[in-house]
Amino acid sequence: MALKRSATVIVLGILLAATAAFADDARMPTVESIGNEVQCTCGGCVAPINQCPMLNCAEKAEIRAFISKEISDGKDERTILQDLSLRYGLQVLSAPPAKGFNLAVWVLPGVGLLVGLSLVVVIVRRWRSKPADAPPAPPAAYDSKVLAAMEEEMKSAGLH
Amino acid sequence: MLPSIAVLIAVGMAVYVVWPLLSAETAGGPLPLDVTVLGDLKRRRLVVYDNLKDLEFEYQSGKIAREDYEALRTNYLGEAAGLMAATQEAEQLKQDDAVVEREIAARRAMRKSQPKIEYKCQACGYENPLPVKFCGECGARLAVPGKKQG
Amino acid sequence: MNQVGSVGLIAALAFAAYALVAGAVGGRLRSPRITRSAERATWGFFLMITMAVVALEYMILTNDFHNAYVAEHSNRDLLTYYKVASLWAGQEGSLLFWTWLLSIYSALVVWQNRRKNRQLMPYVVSVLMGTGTFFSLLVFFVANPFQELWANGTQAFTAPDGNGLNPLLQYHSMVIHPPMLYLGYVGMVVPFAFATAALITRQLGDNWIRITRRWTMVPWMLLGTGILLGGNWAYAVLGWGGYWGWDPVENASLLPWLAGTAFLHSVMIQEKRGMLKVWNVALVILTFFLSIFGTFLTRSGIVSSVHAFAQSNIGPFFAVFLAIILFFSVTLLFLRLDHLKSENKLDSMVSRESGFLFNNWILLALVFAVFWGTLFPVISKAIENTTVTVGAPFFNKVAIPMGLLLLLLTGAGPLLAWRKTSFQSIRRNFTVPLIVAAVAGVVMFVEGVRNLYAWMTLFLSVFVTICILGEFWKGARTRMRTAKENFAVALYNLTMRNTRRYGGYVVHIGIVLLFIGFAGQAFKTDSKGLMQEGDLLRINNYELRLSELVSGDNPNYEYTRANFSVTKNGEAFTSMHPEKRFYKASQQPTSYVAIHPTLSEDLYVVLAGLDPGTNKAIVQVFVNPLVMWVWIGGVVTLLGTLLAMVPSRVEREMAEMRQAQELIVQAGDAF
Repeated sequence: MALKRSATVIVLGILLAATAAFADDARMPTVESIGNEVQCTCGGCVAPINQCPMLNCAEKAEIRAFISKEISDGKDERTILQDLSLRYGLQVLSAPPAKGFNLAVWVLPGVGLLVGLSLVVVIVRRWRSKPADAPPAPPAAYDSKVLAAMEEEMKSAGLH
Repeated sequence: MLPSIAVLIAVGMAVYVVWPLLSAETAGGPLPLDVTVLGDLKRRRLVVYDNLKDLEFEYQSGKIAREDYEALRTNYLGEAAGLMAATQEAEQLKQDDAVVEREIAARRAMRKSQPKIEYKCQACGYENPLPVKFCGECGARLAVPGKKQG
Repeated sequence: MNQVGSVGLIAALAFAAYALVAGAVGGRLRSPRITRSAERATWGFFLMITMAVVALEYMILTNDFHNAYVAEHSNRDLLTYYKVASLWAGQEGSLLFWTWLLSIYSALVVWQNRRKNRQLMPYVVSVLMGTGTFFSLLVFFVANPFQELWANGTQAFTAPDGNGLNPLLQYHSMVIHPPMLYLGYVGMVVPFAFATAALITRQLGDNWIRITRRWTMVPWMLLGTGILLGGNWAYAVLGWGGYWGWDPVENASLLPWLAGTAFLHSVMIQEKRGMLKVWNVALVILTFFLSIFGTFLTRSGIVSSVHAFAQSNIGPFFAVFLAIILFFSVTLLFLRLDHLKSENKLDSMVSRESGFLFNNWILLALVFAVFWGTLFPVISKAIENTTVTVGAPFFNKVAIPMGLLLLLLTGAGPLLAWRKTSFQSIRRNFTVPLIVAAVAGVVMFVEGVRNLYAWMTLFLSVFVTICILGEFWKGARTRMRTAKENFAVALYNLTMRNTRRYGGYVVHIGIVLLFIGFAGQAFKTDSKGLMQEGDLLRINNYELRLSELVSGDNPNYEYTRANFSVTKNGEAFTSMHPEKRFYKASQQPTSYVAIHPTLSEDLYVVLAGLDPGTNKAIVQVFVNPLVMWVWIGGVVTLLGTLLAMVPSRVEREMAEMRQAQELIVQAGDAF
C-alpha cells in the first residue's frame, strides 16, 4: 500500500516536472488564436469564428475585423474577449466566463468528478469491510466423490 | 388497388398473430425455465475454471507473485469444490425425486390395471387406505384380497 | 403509395401496442400461447414498418413529388444512392427509419430466442414493443412522412421537382453515417429490454448479463463507427479542417457510447466475480436513456447545432417518454435491490476490479461533463434568461485531462491481476513500459514537442502500446514454453482462446492510435491567400501553385474548380483540385475540399470562393498532422471489437452446455 503510494508520488512528480518544462509563455494574440474562442453569431453555423464554413458570412467578417482592430490597438486576449461580449452579447464567447451563474458550467464537471471519486471510495470501503464471509473451505474439506468429479470436469475443461 | 393489398397483408398478419390464442394451451404447461439449478451450478463452475486457467496463465507469464498465486488457487479450488458438492446434492435430490415419481407412476398404473380392491374391515366397517393385512382401526385380520369370498 | 404507407404505420402501431400488452400478460401468466402471439406481433410490426419504408423509398426513387416529404428532400437529378439516403435526411423520414431499425432488431431478437430464454422473452418483447409503440405513435401522429403536398393549404398538388437533398449531405460517408449511428442508438434498446426482463422475472443470475453483453457490443461498435464516419464527413465536407467540434449532436452520440464503454468494462467484474450487479443494471438503463436522449437532442432542435433540424414539435413527446423510461426502470431497480447482492468482496485496492472501477469513474464523469456542457445553454436560458454558448474550448478543457487519465488506464488496467496485485508484480510489469515511454518522452521533448497535452498524449501512447504489446509478448512466450509452439502459432492460439481479452487489447491499441491522431491537432497550421492563376501559396514545406481555374456544369450542380500543382521541399509532390459548388435544386453553395492524406500529415485545400471584387480565388490551406491515425485507429478499434465477438473456446463450451440444457428443457424436464 505504502509502496503503491510512493509509486504514485513518483509518477505525479514526473508529471509535475513535465508541466513545469512545458510552462506556456504568454503568446501574442492573433485573430486565429482569439477566433478559436469566439463563436459566429450569424445563426447559420455554430462554429468558432475561424472555422465557420460559410463563405460570405457578413457577421464573421465583421467580428474578425473587430478583433484585428483590437489587436492592433495592443489589447490583450482577455480585454478583447470582454469587449466582444459587451458588443455582441455573451453568446459570442464559445465558452461562458467563469462568473456568476455561468460559474456552474465550469465547476460542476469538477464536482461531478469528485462526487464520483468519493462514491468509488465509499463503494470500495463497503466491499472491503463486508463481514468477511468465510473464505471457501479448502478443497481437502470435501468428499472424495466431489473432488473426483471436479478433477474430471477440470480435465475436460482443459485444466490439469 | 395497392392500399387494399396493404390492408389485406395487415389483416393476414393479424390472423397469424391471433392464431396461437385460439389453440388450446400446449401440453407442455407454463413457459419452460431458462436456467435450471443444475445448469446454473455448472455454469458457475465453468467460470471458476476459467478464472483458474487465467490465474495459472498469468502466474506462468510472470504477472503474479507466487504467494498470491497459491492463495488464490486454493481459494478458487475451494469455490469450485463447494459448487460441485452443491451439484451432487441437487443431483441426488433429483434422483430421489425421480425414484419417488417412478414409484408413484407405477402404482398408479397398477391401480388402473387391477380391479379396484377395497380394504374395508368386515368387523368395524373402517375403510383402510392402503393394502394392509390388519385393520388400522380395530386390529381385526382382513380377508386377503383376490381370495375374497363374500 | 401514401395510403400504403399509412396502412403500414397504423397496422404497425396496432401490432406494437398489442405486443406490448400481450408480452406483459403472457409473461405474467407464463402462458406459451400468449407469448407466442406477442412474438408473432413483433414480426407483424417488422413487416408493417418495412411496408411503410418501402412505400416511402418507392416514392423517393420514382420522383413522386405529390408526397410532401419527397418534394422536400429529394429531386430528379439526385444520384440514386443519395436518393436512397433521402429516407433519413429529414425529421419524418429519420423517425420512420429509426422505427424500422427498431423493428429489425426486435425481429432478430425474437428469432434468435425462439427456443431460448422463454421466461425472459415475453417481457423482452413487451419492452421492445413499448419503444416501438412510442415511435410509431410519433411517426403516425406527429411526424408523418406520408402527407400530400398542399398548395395554399387547400389543394393537393404535385411539385414539378423536389427541393433536393441538402448538399452538405451529398457525400459518400454521409450515406452510411446516419444508419450506423441510428443502428447504434436503436440497438441499445435490446440490452435494456433484457435487463428489464431479468429484473421483472427476478432472474438476476448470469444469464441476462451474458446476453446483454453481446447485445451491447453490437450497437456499441456501430455507434462508434457512426461517430467516426460523422467525423470523417465533417472533415471532408465542412471545410474547416477538423473532424470533431463538440457540436451538441456529436455530443449526443458520444454520451451513450461512453456509457456503453463503461458497461462493457464493468460487466466483466460481474461475470468473473459476481460483483457490481446494481451498478451494471444502472449502466444499462443509463445507456439506453442516453440513446433516446441523443435521438431527442438530434431530432428536437432544443439546442442549436450544425445539424439544424430544428422542428421542435416532437420535443414534449420525447420528454414524456424519457420520464417514463426513467421512472419505470429506476422503480424496478429499487424493487429488486435484494436480488442484486454482491457474491464476493474486493480482495485488494490494487486489482483489476479497482482498475475497472476507476475506468467507470472517469467515463461516467466524462458523460456527466459532456451532458452538462451540452445542456447548459438551455439551462442558462431557462434560469438566467441569458444566451450563452458552450463550445469547443469548454469541452477541450474538461475532456482532455479526463481523456488522458483514461488513456493511462487503457494501458495500466490490463496489467493489474484479478483480485490482488502485489507491489512486486506491479514493478515487474510496469518497469519496461515506463522506461521506454520516458525515453520516448525525452526524445519528443528534444525534438520540439512543447505542447503539454500533446506531449502527454504521445508519452502515454508509447506507455500503453508497450504495456499491451507486452501482454501479447508475455502470453505468447508462455505458450511457447508450456505448449511448445512457435511464436506465430502461440500468438494465434493465445488470441483465439480468449478472444474477449485479446480483442479488447486490440481495441485498446485502436484507442491509442485515435489519441495519437487527436494529439496531431495541437500542431495544425493553416494559411490563406487570394490567388489568381500562376500564384504561389506557401505553407510549411509545401508550395501550391494555382495552375488554372475552370468552371463547369452538370445536372446537379455548377462548379468552379481550382487546379493546384503542389511541391514539397521543392520537389513535385501532387496535384489537388478543390471545388466550389452551387447545387441547383436546393440553391445552396458548398465547398468540395481536396485532401492529400499521408501517414504523417494531411494537406487540406479549400476553395472558399471567388473574391467578388477581383475575381481571385480565396484559398485556405491546412496542414493537419496525424489525422490519418484517427481513421486507422477507428478501423483497428472496429477489428478488435469484431475479434472480441468471435466466441472463444470457453464460450463455445458453455454454448454447447446451454444447448444440452435446452434439450432437457424441451423434453419437459424442468427441474
